[in-house]
Amino acid sequence: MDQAAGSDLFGERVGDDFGTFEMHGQADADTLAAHLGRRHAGRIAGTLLVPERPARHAPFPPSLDSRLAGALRERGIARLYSHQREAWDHVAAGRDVVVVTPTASGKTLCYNLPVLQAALEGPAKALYLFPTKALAQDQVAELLELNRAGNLGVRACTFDGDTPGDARRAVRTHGDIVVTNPDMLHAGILPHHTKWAQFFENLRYVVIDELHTYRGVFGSHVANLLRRLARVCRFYGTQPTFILCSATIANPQELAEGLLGRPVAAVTESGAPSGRKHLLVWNPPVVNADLALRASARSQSTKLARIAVRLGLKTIVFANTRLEVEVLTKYLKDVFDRDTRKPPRVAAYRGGYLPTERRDKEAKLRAGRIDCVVSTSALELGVDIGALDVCVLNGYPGTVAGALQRFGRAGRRNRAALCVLVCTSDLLDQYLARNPAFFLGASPEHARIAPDQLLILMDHIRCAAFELPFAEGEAFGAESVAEALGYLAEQGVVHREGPRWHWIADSYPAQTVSLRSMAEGNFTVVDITDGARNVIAEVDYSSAALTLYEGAIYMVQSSPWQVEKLDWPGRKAYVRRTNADYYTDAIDYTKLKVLDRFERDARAQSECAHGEVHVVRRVAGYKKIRYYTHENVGYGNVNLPDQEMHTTAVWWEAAPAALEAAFATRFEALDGFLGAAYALHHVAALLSLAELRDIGRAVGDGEGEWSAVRGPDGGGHARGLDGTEADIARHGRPFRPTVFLYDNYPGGIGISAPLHGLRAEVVARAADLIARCPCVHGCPACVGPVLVDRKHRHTPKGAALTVLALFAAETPAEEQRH
Amino acid sequence: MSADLRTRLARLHGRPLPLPPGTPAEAPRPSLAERIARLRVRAAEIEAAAPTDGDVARLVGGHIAAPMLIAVARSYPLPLVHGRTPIAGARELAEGVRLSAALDARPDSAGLLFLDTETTGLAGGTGTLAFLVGAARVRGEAIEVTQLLLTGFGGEAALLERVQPLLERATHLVTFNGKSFDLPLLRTRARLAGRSLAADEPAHLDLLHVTRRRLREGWADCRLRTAEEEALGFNRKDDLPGAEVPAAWQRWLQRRDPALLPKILDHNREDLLSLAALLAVLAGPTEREAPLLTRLRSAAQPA
Repeated sequence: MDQAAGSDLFGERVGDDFGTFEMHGQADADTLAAHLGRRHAGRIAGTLLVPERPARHAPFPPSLDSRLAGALRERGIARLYSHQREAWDHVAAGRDVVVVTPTASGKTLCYNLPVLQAALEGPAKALYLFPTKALAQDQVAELLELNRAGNLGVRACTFDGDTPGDARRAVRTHGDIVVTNPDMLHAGILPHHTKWAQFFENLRYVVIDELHTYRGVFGSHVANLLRRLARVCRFYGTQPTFILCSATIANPQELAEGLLGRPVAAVTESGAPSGRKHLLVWNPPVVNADLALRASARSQSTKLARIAVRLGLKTIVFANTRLEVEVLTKYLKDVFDRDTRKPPRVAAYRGGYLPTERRDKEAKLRAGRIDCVVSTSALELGVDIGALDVCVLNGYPGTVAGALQRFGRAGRRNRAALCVLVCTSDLLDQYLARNPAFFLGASPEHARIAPDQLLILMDHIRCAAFELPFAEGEAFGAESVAEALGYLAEQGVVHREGPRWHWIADSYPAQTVSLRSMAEGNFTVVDITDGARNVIAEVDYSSAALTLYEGAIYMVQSSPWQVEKLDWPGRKAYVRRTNADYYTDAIDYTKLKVLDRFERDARAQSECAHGEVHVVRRVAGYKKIRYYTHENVGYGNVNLPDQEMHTTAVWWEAAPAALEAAFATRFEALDGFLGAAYALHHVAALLSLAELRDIGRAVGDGEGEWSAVRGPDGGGHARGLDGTEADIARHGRPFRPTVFLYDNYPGGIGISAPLHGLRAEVVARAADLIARCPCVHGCPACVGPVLVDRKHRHTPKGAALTVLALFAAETPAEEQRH
Repeated sequence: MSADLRTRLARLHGRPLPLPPGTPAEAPRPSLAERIARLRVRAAEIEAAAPTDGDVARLVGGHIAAPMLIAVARSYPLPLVHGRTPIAGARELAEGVRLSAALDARPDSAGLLFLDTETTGLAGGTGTLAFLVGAARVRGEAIEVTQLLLTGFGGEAALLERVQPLLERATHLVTFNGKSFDLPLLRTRARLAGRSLAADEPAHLDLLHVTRRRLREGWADCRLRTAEEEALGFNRKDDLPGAEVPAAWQRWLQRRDPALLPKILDHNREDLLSLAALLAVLAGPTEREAPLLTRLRSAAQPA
């Protein structure tokens, strides 16, 4: 969308339409919010005012060690917040607890206090798990501060891939609090647990922070990792109490209980004070009505940040990609950091920077010496940067929970704050612009895990067998371990002797199991320009065939590389920088065959079912498309193995009679199905805590005879699996187009079943999205990129809406359908 | 719908493809439960026909030390030829320790313990088993080798019980890469069996490090095999390569085929003797050091 730096799509100069400000000098977020509301009401799609909340305090617990109390007082804390005291009380009673509070509410004391107390009373040890090393290091720094303040003598250390060899021994034998991450626990600690015997024998607490990050595939792996941890603890005779912290998601307690496999108490009300917060959903103005093109989000974010900084408000701008961060920073520096002799007021922050650089910026932010920081999600998690006044999101980050986390960066104790979501022209952003209540009032999404997903479970049973022999009758998750062990014995990996199963292979299973992917293994993208061999990206198995075929142009932060060689069994793609003036788009056919229906809702005009499907995806070739003009400048062949998998799906089909009545030709109907599928897919991702790529979408005939794709002309085509055009127009052959939304992971990851439960809402919201899109015929913000065929009775939009109307029709089935 | 485990796993990997409707069905595959049942019957049959511990003991020339534990003892009088330079006697071995560990006084050769294990893998960690522990001690002017071989997991407690006094009574332990591998592994196995390896362990001389420092120049690598060939001039005949040892023991464990067990013991014995021979070589100046020593001595002579 954005063209050359410095100007917007249609030449709007940066800085011209926000006008001059009547006020000079400082103003607060309230004033800014009011000003924006007055001058730009047309761009504000929705507002919400979150009222301020006073603090709720609680006294120190009577049993709190005096040294610890002294340490707190030295750091300026004389009372606890209510939620910190509640957490303490649960833990003291021996209950596992999950604390759900927003950023900057002092949640770390919820776990540091009980842990330090126990360490002072005896040889009680604790294990802390963080999703990233940076967070782990911050935590250790925090603990060391408390330790120093109270002269507590507690040893806290990080243990991860960077810990040098001689230091590792010291951590294992002398560490009181060991801070690590799930990957290290999985491959570096549990398989060597005898070296940690002293630690496990005295393990009293396990702390897991940022719990909401353990969802989806990653969360399912971590749930199993925790089962292995529990097994090892049982071997050493301990049963630690778990203290968990989560950001606001819809189901923190459910997630916690799913991860631990047992009941967990929940502390959900934060006692920390917060100032008033203005939330705005900001939609850039339309600059081309026919094409429904809007001004770029970037232009809006820049303007908002500029105004905020001029008013003396500390601002953070979140961008979704590293490239966006760099561009936004450049725009803002052009305004504020012209004089390089002065200290910079604008800073960029992203994962690619060196740790020392990041620490330096964090310190400057905390000290208030930076006025505006532009960041990726790297600053979404708990790193302490002090509190800011204004937060601008340049584009919806993909989930409500993620947006709320980022908004959490703005807001100080007694001051108002302003949070603005600036919408891009992506479908989800525009959907929120049209339905601001969905975003502003929404409860954030559900985090889902599937710990008994068969492939994941088997991986961890293998790792567990390496760690400790399995005993006859032992349980591990919901599956019958005996069957799984029998399967492993067949493979020669374990050996049964009497009532026990011993590991006998010469391999090290933890090394081959990645916690963030499933079974097949991720691909690494290796840059071989100029003889180098740098890994520049990682691509998961299911996306690899679509993006890494030989000849593909692969983009990393908008820089293009071309894939020279793809080593499929080795899971590596070798790329070289390129100057090609085109990009590539894979032509893929997905064929789905229904294997089993679990549930079915049959109506007169359509039916919606949920069940197991077999998916075959083949990439037949690719198109080369020139930038800007979007012409097709060539084709290429692709020779890659078909990807097949069994998974769960939810699908909609319409009754043939109803279709015939609604559409003049089968091609029109196909167009409608393709458009409806596009909208349904996006809405489904929105309603689950799923990223778009977690859900696959396809339009086919349910028997696997043909599948539909949008051709290069934007129109719908039905193709058989060999890629040739399928003849759907022939009468006498049944025409049963079906929209499939499937879990994009073998075996399913638990998305389809709840989606089936929400089917009415998914269809209604999809129809609403299309109906309210301001375009005329259809566009990527509602039904996808389309071509208008004047011969058709319906526009692509109209066709999609017709199909959705059939799906939504309430008439009950009069007759049994097959 | 409930499919057995194997079918479900195969489906998830996309194999086999479901047959299109109308094709004649093949004979139905047995369920996993049936297959495991059959496997158990087969395993029981194998067990019934399997060689006993007594058979194995006879095959390897040892005796049953405990259920599932075979002990094999051999004695090698000194001087012993093991390469181009024979091991002269017990004193030479003690001198080797003195020089290599930079001790003030020569230790008593009776306190030396040579140790080498054979394991199910090189990964280390809790899933690796030491199924053979080979130990050699100096008794008078002879090297006595004791090997403890497991015929099943059930013999491990007894094995560890016998390893403990060996370590506790020794003053100096000599291994090749034992500091990084063999000892940590034995400690792990002990902890898994709920015991400690030894009340306290002797001083540990790991010849890998000494060999690297004093002998290695010009060698392709620093494996024991290479040191044997280069420093000792010892070439094994008919040896079971170290990389094949784990599989050879597994053939016994899973298929009850003991044919390669004697070769495992031979291989381990040669390792131990090479360890001693290496120590003997290290008792004097090496090829590289000899000229330097001569020059130093002549420089120290009074004019």
